Parts: sequence; C-alpha cells; structure tokens
Amino acid sequence: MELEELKILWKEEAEKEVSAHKVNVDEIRGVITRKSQSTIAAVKKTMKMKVVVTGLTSIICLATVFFGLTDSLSESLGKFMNATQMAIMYSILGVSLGTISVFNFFNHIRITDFERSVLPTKETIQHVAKIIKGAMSLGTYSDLIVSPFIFAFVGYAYFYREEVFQFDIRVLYVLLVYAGGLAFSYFTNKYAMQKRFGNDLDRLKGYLKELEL
Amino acid sequence: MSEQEFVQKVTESQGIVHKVCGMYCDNEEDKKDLFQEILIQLWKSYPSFRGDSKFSSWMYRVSLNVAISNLRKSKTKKEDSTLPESFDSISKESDEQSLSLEKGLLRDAIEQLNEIEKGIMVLYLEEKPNDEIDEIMGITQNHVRVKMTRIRTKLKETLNPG
Repeated sequence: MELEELKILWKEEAEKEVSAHKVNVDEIRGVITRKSQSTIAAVKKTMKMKVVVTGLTSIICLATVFFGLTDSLSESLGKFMNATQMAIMYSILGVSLGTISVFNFFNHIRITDFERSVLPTKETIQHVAKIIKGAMSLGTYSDLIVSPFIFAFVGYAYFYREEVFQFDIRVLYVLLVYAGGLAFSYFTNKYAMQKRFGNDLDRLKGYLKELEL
Repeated sequence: MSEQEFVQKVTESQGIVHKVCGMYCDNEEDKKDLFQEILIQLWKSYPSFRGDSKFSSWMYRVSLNVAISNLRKSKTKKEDSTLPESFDSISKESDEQSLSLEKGLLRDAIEQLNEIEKGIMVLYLEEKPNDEIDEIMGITQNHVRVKMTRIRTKLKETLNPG
C-alpha cells in the first residue's frame, strides 16, 4: 500500500468515525460544563486547596498572636513554652503559611492564564512541563517549612517538658530533631512528587526532545 | 463570544476533534475521555480565539495540544458521563466488528508513530500545508519536512513489509 492509498483510506475511516460519533448541540453544551480530568486540573485543584488551608491556618496563627491569645495557650500547654516564645512560634508559622498561600494563589492564576491561551504544541509542552516541575517543587519544598517545625516542636516538648526555655545542650537536641525532620520531610515529599508526576514529566521531556531533533 | 456561538461552531466542526481522537486512541473509552477533555479545553480557550487564524486551525491546535500534552489522570473511578451515548453503543458495535484488513493496516501504521508524529500525520492526512503544520506544532518548516520524511519511511516499512 502506498501513502496516497493510506490517505484515501484515512479519509474513508475518518468519515465513518465522524458520522458514527457525531454529537448534538445539547451534548456539547453538557460536556463543556464538566470538570477536566487532566494532570493540570489536578495540580490546580491541589493548589486551590493549599491556598485555602494554608491561608486560613495563617490567619488563625497571626490572629492568635494579634489578639494576645498566646497567654492562655501557654497555660493550657503546661507552660513548657512561655507566652513570648509561643507568640514567636505562631508568628513564624503564620508568616510562612501565608507566604505559601500567596505563592500558590499566584501560581494558580498563572496556570489559569495558560489554560486560556492557545500556543503552538512545542510551547504548550514546555509550559505544561514547567507547571508540573513547579508543582513538584512546591510539593517538595512548601511542606518543608511546616513539617520540620512540627518535629522540632515535639522535640522541644519532649526535652524541655514543663520547664521554660533555657539555652543549653537541649537546644542542640532540638536542632538535631529539626534537621532530622527536615531531611525526612524532604525525601518523603520528593519521593511522593516523583511518584505522582515523574512519569508525566518524563513523557513531556521525551516529546520535547522529539520536537527538537 | 457567546456560549451559543461557540457550541454552534464546534458542533459544525466536531469532525476535527473526532479525527484527532481517532488518531490518538484505539478504544472507545479513551476516545470518549479525550473528546471531553478537548471540548473542555476548547471552551476554556475560546475567549483567546480572535479570528486571526481559521477556526479549523485553531481547533486542530487546541485538540492536538490536549492529545499530546494534557496528560490525563489514570482513572480509578469513572465519573458519570453526560457524553455521548453514541460512544457507548459504538464501543459495543466496534468490539463486535472484526477489523477489515485495510483498517487493520491503517491502525498498525498509526501505532508505529509516536505522539508527535501522530500530530504531524493527522495534519498531513488532512492535507494541511507545511506552513500551517509548522504553525500548529511550533517547529520550523524544515523540521516538518524532516519529520515527514521519517514518518513516510516508517509507514512504508509498515505498509509494505519485506
């Protein structure tokens, strides 16, 4: 069979395909209101969730400091941290989470803008790869602000029990717990992101290579 | 720019989407999913269509971009679909139908191509000129020619073995 014959065959088959699958106006109207199942849609959904969760938590943390609720919190936590230390901890958490929320918010806007644009295939693949890489980095690094902090908090609670903070060898222990938490979170997050998006990213890189050859 | 106008235009030109789905998917379930994804993306990006290019070129560009780069989530559960009962009935019919020799050859030929080559191939089979192909794919005309030569060689080997 020659290529021209293939072209004719394609036309015949394409005609059959089109007439067999033809949908009407109402069906098309129904489809466009559905939610996308693409990886990009999943990335956007995760970002949206992070904007809300980290944003709300940030507001709660900062409000706790602003309205002076750290005194009563310090009391209820067995006084192992005084009100000032608690205020510092909540401020750091509030600002960190707020930053993550804002970062996710702007990334979400950027992806939405990209979705509305129509670029040539090569540029589209480059953008999608960039979005996926960004989602992987965000998933790996954004949690590094909070998770090790929780490890350190637990370490602090353990080493200082009901005592007020003192600058001694226990600070080193807490720092070691923080570093351990940081390493653990980093590798866990990286593995999870690789598992979730790694294959997609590799495929896109393969397509780009194909378009550059 | 109204929904009515969009739906009307897409209904008239839906053949483009079906052809792209036919090139990239070999089963009805995947075709149905891809068809939905493409329509959703067409609607999202419709405000950016300003008529600088032909509506059909714009549709090919969006459809191929979705087919190639919008990696679809692997399904663990199927959502209820508002789409096309026609797809389901076809699925059953297709399963029952045995492939003709020529149709089988066409399918074999397509399967030899990677996702990028399939994109170029669908445009070639639809007799799009090289400048339109390079505009859609984002590569140079020279590159399109090189790709077409490779595709032809690959296809000839499949279509005329031995």
